[in-house]
Amino acid sequence: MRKKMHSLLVLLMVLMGLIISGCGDEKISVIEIPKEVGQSETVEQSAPIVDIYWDATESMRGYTALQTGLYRTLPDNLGEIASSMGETHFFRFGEAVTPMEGRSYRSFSSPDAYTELVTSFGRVIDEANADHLSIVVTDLFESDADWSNVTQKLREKYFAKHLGVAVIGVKNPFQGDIYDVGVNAAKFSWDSGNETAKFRPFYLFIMGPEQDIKDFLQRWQEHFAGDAGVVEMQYAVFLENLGAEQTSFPDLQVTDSKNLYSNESLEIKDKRVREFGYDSSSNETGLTVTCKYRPMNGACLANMQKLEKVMQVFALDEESGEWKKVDAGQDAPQIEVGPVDGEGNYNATLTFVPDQAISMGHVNFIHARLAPEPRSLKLPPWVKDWNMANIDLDPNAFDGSKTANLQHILESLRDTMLSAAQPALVNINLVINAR
Amino acid sequence: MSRNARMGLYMLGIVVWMGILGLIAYEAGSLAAHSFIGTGVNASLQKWQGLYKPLVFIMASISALITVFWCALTEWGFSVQSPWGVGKRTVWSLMGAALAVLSFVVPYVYVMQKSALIMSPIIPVIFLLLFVLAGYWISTIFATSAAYKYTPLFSSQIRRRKGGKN
Amino acid sequence: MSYYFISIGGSGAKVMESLTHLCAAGLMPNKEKMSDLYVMAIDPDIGNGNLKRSSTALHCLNEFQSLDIGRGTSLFKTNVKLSRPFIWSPTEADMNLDDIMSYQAYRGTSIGNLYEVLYTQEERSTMLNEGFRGRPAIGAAVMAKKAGLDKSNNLNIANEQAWDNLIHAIQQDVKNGQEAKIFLAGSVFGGTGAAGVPTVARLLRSMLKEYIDAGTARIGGALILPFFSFTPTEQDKAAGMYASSENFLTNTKAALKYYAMKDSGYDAMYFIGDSQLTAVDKFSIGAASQNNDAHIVDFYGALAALDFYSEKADSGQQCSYISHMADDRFSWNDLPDIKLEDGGEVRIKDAIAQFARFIFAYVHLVKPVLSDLASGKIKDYKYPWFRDFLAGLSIDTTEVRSFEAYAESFATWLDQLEHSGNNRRVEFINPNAFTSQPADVVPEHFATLAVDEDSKVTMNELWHRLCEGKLQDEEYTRGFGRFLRLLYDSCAKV
Repeated sequence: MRKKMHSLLVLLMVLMGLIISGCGDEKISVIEIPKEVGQSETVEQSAPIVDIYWDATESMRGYTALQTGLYRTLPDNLGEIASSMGETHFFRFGEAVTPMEGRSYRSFSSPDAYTELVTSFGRVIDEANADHLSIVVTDLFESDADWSNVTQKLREKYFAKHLGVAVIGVKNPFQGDIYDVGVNAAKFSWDSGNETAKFRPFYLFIMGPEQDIKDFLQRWQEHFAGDAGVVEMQYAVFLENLGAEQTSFPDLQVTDSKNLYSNESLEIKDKRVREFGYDSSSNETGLTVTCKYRPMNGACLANMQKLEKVMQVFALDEESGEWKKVDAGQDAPQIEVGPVDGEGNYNATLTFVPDQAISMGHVNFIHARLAPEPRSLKLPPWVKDWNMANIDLDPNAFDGSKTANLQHILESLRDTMLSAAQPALVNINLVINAR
Repeated sequence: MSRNARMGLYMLGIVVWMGILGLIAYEAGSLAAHSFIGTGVNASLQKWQGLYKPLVFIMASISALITVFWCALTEWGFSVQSPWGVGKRTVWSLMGAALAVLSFVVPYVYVMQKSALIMSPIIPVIFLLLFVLAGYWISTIFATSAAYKYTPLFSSQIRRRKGGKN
Repeated sequence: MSYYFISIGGSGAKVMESLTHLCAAGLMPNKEKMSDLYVMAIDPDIGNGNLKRSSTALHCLNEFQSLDIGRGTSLFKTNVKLSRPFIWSPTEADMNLDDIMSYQAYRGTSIGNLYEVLYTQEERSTMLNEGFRGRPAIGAAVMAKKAGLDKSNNLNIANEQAWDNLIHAIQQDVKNGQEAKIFLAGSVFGGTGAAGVPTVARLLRSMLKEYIDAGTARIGGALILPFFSFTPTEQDKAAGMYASSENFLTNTKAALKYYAMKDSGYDAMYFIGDSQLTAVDKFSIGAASQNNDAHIVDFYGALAALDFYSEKADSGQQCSYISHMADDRFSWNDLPDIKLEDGGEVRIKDAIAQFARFIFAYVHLVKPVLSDLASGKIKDYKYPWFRDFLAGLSIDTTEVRSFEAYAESFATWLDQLEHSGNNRRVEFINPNAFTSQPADVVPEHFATLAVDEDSKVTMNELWHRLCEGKLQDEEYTRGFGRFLRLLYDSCAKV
């Protein structure tokens, strides 16, 4: 009897040990998006710093000549909008960039402020802080040669780092000279009077974190909501998510799933990533999310019939902490896109079989994205209307209500964004703990 | 060892056994939850487990209480004065049936209190298998006082018979 | 050690009854199963009710004692052997004194004349089928006629099966190195007893002279003095010769004088009587109707036998006295401890109390359900002790039936004993705690069955012990005996 009790006790202890060892917290890993996926790092949202660079060349003086128009009050308005976002600094630039003290930026309402001879946009890009929201007030009269230099700088400093660029174009009364036009550096005079068709555009060239750009655009539109229909404003937005809504978790809604459940076994701080677990490793697993393609005002329009489906699977090497690509070939996860309804809603469904598509025994990262085919992204239609073809071909064709090479400039922004960033309509980031 | 001390040990063993079954129920329920908790943002497995754990504790406690009560009855409650009326299988069966009913009622009452816990019929089935069959039934087979040792069904096949050499 | 008991007459039979129960309870001084108790009855009244009742219990015990109850227990530890034939009658059927004494051959002779003077016509002509009617003179003559002188001029009874077997058994035991202790019990005031007690002793001493002289055989006797009285009705008187209780004391006085003056033939003599005579309700001249209840005097007679069996041969000549402390009661404290062969002692109270619990537990808990359990009418899961120990066994056996009959006789004996005090309480077993005919116990009083003792073995406690099934001896127990052993051990007080 005593022997039996002893054996039973030993058995109980072994059983307890097995159960306890199976329980308890798993080793916690802080999961971050693999660098290869190419998404921006999440940044703690704090109040942005806004740097406003004002083109102080003589070509800009004409915007202040007439009493009407938005330009004369732009310094105050812009200062107000920027200040509502955060700390604001003003700079004047020509060839060099000079900070402005206090409220001296208000002088830009007056013609006397415009004394610079050379516009060096590239210098502004160089000196701008990529973490700040940088706004350049200019007429965007750039030559191809100058602009290709700027484009290169924008690629490296902004697009490659998943930052964005936006352009606001505003038609304003103009009376004055426009210098340094074309390769021959010609000078043209333009007087729009009060004819809106002859109003000359000036631009706000906005660079920085995408969320700050969106925030500024929203504040700008709210600020000038009263001028809608009176002042012609147009927008061009070059953001990685192409200005779409619900582009990633946590905004993406999961509407259907198969063989999957929400899991929180790993520490994932990035809200764009969600962890799931699967019930059976050999059964087909699926996740359907509802996406919305309702691009914001000014975004490049994607052809929903021509979307690139990108799928990447990574397995975490816990020893090195690095993500290693998993190539499942034919068995890799698949993504299907449903039709888009009138509201821009559509479903994207991800399917895979765990023991075929991911690396069993590891933490896996599945990245699926829908990207527009490069050639299918279209600039907003107003760009063509505001574009003046190369002045060098026909100086008599000078039209002060348009901007020379505008289309080329914005197309280059679009192309740079496409090549440097990985713009996508939707980014689906899953972590599957298959340990 | 005195009979009282032995029954005390058995009761302790019952509590430990129910604890082990509770752990198993927790793990089994968690495994089963993979198939029904879904992919909602607020419905992660870990959140579900956090709500499920107290339920398992409650069921294990109820099961332990009922089983211990049965054993206490057989040791100190029932009293034999004559050879008639010594069969207590009805009492044993009723207690087991009550526990089986509670295996279904308790989870659903609990869910009414904690609506965030997604419930599935598999959970009461797990409770039935573990706490009623493996818990109450098996425990009573081994821990019932000798005076009623063959009362639980199949206990005479399982429990060693003293005597024997007839 | 070998033990022999010879009951002489009705009173001897009642002592035999008490001794039977004390023997079953394990109060004999022998080590377990190493000694026998050889029992023989002498009574011309073969149909005597007392003899029939006491021999029933003895015959039952003889049947079921073969049950394998194992070792290390005092229960049934003494093997009872019955004489074959069990009852020896000095007379033959339908004979009177004249027939036995062959009066017709001596009629007219001086012997015949002397015979006529000594015995009345009634005494000479009364049939002796129902004993000697309380006339020691008749008995003495009959006994003497049966015994004769052998070649060596020693008293002997020849060609009597019972005596041949008895002597042979004693010889065998002595040759095997065992000491033979022969105990006789009978009244000194009655007919058979008064005649037989001295005669049989002398007869045995003569037939076993060699062994007695060598000290390997000893003879003891319980001489029962008057303890009851009766009043025959006129109708009884008209029926013929009968014993008269008025003569008891006179007869006793004469007998005692004889024992004082003559060599009684006993190595030890126990005189047991009662100053208060118990009135017998129904007078009987003999046969089955003579069925007197058990009496405390019988109990003391049996205790005397136990004392004789346990005394050492070299204990020397001693005179002991036993009584009861309180005038109005007999209690456990009045009883001596029994010395065992191995030097130990056993308290009579402990042995009888446990044995009584054992018997009543059986009749209360086991007997009512046993046959239904065996036949399957009752589901045996409710009775773990049955499933563990008796399932599959045949319980419709002679041993089981004998045991159950014995249990009834034990309860009856106990009941009579408890009520035999005659204005004095017999405080051995609580009389309110049990009943007899049929035997049963009041469950609430089970633990306090023995007076002045709370054994703490309640019915519920007993049930638990039975179901736990802890046997002290696993190896040598078998079958129904195994269960009885369990039951007995479970009745041990806490």
